[in-house]
Amino acid sequence: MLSIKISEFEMPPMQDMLIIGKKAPIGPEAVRRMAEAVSPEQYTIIRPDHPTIEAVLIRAALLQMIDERTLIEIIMQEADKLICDTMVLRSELKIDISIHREVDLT
Amino acid sequence: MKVADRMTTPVHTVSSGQSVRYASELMDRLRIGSLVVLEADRVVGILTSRNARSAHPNRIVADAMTPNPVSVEADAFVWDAVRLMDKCGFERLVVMRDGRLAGIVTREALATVLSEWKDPLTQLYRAPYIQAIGEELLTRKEPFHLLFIDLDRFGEVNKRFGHPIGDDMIRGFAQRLKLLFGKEDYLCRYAGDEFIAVTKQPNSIVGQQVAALSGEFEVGPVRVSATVGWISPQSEPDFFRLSFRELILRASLMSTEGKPVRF
Repeated sequence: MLSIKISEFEMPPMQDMLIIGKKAPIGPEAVRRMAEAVSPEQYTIIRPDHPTIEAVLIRAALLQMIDERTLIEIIMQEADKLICDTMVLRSELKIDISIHREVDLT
Repeated sequence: MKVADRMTTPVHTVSSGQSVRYASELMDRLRIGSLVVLEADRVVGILTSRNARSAHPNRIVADAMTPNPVSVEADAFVWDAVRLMDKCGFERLVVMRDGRLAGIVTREALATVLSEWKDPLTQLYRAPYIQAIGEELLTRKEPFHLLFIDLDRFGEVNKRFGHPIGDDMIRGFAQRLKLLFGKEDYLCRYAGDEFIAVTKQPNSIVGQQVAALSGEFEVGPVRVSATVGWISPQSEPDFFRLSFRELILRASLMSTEGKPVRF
């Protein structure tokens, strides 16, 4: 029996963010090079001071919407509960902004 | 003794994009403890066997290496390379010559040669060390101060209290020298109760050091002081025309005759 599953290759394959453990089989520089090859200038590497997490690859556009330190602090708090140092976590990160304005209709 | 005399060549290299597994196997095959990491012919790091052991073998070398390696020129002195290692906490330095990778030098390789140059009593270097430093500075026409420091009453102390106390006196004085002079100065136990300091400090600082050395201090039952012969380009117009040996001779005569030092 032959079984083939076909699905579309996601571009880029790493969505919004990769969280890289300190002993993960792929390190930050390799991830950065991969991201640079498939989506040039779209991602940036941040190296937080953390006992388990070595680096976070993040879509650069997100850092234009929210302060880097604030965002990394939230990511560290949440990832800390899930990650061990050999893992690489892939994550979606959406920022929703609601805007309400009063306008003069006259 | 220059770094070039003790560096390891040829240098084995690995590209930053190769795997840690490949680099580990290469080190095992060549029976070496480190590889210089290159990116487009530029040195970007050193991968040691320890780096490789602590990283996942699937990682690329760039993610396991020690980045931004510290380099030293091939014609630098061995002791300057050791000072650099102490300062940056590295066990290996990349050796460069004319801007190109020339070799690699380890603390272990340098420690062997340096131990041959050290005085076991004081842990200061011996005379050939200061001779090499002085000759190099004269060749480069770099001004410096040479202090010939002769302990007072050493023979008398030996006779009165015995040689162990004499040894204590030498050790205690060497300790005082180490405290008085900085990491950028060069010190040696020249012979017996004679020491030499070579320093590039300003005149005013050297004046204070000479005054401190001439003052008395206690080592066990003994009060120790020294007479200093001080020679520099300011006091000796022919400074750069004389050999280092001749400078030592003149400074030693100044100390023997107890001449007042010239500021």
